[in-house]
Amino acid sequence: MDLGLGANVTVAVIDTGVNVAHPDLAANVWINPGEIAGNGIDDDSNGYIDDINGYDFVGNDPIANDNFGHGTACSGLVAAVQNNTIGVTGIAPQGKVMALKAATDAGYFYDSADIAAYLYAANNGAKVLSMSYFGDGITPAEKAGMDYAVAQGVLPVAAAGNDATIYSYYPGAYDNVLSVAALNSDLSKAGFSDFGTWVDVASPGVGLYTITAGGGYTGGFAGTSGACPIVAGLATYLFGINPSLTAAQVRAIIEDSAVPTFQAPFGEYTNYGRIDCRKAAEMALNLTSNPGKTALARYMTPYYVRGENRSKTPVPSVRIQGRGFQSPRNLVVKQGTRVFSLMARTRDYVDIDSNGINRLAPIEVWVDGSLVKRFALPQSSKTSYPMIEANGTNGSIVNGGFFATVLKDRYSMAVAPSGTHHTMRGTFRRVPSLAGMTLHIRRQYSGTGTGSEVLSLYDWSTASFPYGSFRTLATTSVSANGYVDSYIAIGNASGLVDPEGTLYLDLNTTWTGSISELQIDQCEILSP
Amino acid sequence: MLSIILALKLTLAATDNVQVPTSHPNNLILDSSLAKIALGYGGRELRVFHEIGYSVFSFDSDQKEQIYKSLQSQFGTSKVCLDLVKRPAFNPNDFYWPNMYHPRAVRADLAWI
Repeated sequence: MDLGLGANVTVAVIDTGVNVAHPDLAANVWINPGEIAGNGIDDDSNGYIDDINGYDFVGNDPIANDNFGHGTACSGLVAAVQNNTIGVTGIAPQGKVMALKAATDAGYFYDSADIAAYLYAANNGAKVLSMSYFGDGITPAEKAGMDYAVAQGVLPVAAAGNDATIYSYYPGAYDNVLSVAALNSDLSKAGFSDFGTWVDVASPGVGLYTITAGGGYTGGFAGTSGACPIVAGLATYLFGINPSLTAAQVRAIIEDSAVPTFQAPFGEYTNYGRIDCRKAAEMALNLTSNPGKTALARYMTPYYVRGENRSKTPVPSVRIQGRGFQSPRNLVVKQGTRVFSLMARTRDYVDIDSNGINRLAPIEVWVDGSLVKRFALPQSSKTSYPMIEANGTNGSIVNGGFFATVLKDRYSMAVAPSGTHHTMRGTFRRVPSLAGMTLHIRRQYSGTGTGSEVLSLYDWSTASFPYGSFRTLATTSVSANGYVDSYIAIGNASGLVDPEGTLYLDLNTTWTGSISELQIDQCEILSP
Repeated sequence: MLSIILALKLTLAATDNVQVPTSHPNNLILDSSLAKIALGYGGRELRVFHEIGYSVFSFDSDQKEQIYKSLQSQFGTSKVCLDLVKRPAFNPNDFYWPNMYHPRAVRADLAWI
């Protein structure tokens, strides 16, 4: 059954510019219906003169030419012309590419241009943003620009980034942005692709055939940069075959139709999985029902909030992250007979009012009458922000999946050695930047001999990850003597917590003797 | 499995300082209510985002950091923003790039952008 190519839908490719004259793209370049090219007049009074195909927000020029090549390649993946006997085809064969240049010719995307592009796209009819760039720095201004676009009914899609890390990058990690990991041609995770519970879906990102800025073709475009416009193309296509869909519905269809991406040692390395265009199109046309993914709860943070000292602990809520929490499902979070009020609820997380949580009883998540998860709380009198995602570096493998709340007697995470080293990085989320925080780690090494363990946190004040450096918290002599607890004062946490409350831990142990496994039984940030 | 291990090895390599700009050398993005103050500092208004109430101002590069710290201490982080930079999420399109670990091992890919 042919589901059609979809009607014209505008997709803003925010990038290094676009060769709008490429013969395999020209017919699918957006034309501003209110503007007359080259007359030097802002005919449609949108604030931009002669913006016939988009705009260059770096050079303040109506021609968004592509001297870098990146934006043209991405545009071809979105909407290269299909069935024209030449070249390649985009995922949205009738999508219309709005060319928005927001990068310098050296490839730098400054917020001052990105924000302008978000606003322009939203104000001029784009339904989808394709953003194949990433960084860890975020500002209230950029977030406001993204929120504005979403409020206008736009679906933003962004690359997860190429640092092979679990650290969350923006704009992909904004809650209202659909983030995309990259796959190899055999559909395994691309080694370079970022991953984690913050990444929503995955699509191919290696050896991609697309158009080039010089007017030709390449068969080797790669990166989450390539994965992103494929998903943006799918979103554009879905809007095209069913124009009545909202951006939220299109996003839900893309996520719910995805095939889970499970691969050792990562476990499920995106929240929803690899996109399935056919299944998504069937859902978009109501040919197939969308029951939604089965609900699951992955982690909770923080783990305990002192109700009696709430005024001293500026954490208004506990977040449970997972998927399948959407309405009209009956979502209940409770502790014994006490049912918590829901402060915020999305498809992926729920925030509950944390006041008065009893640390002695587990918290349960129920969806439509079924128990999804029971979180047992640590017997601590302090608020605990557990390490919730980890992966090995320098060759080591974290066994048991990269995401898990590492909590005493609930989960033991094993880190295999690489040569004479144990290396691991992990993240903590939604941590307030407070003075007097403590890092607590309970771990044991097996083997013989001794090791020197260095624990560090990434220092955001030095530079954006990975260009900056880690700040060493402690260097400790360790040996294979069973579980040992260490409590390490963090001191001034201001440079160590990013604007979204993420900390990034690095553990590196050099061993002398016969090295074996490192087991981490508990790893948490404790409030003052 | 080997490719995974190689990729994980590469992550650790990317930790030392590389001279990549983290924010624009001249620009600040300010709440529009601070326009007069920014002009008083010698700023030049480049762009106004009416929809979200922010404006982009350009300052002399040797004064921008000082002005940023001064304004942020007075008006807070929600009104005074750096013009941060992001990077393209691409890899070179050379056919064998996915198999080429050595440029990433010596961080050549980070030097190119």
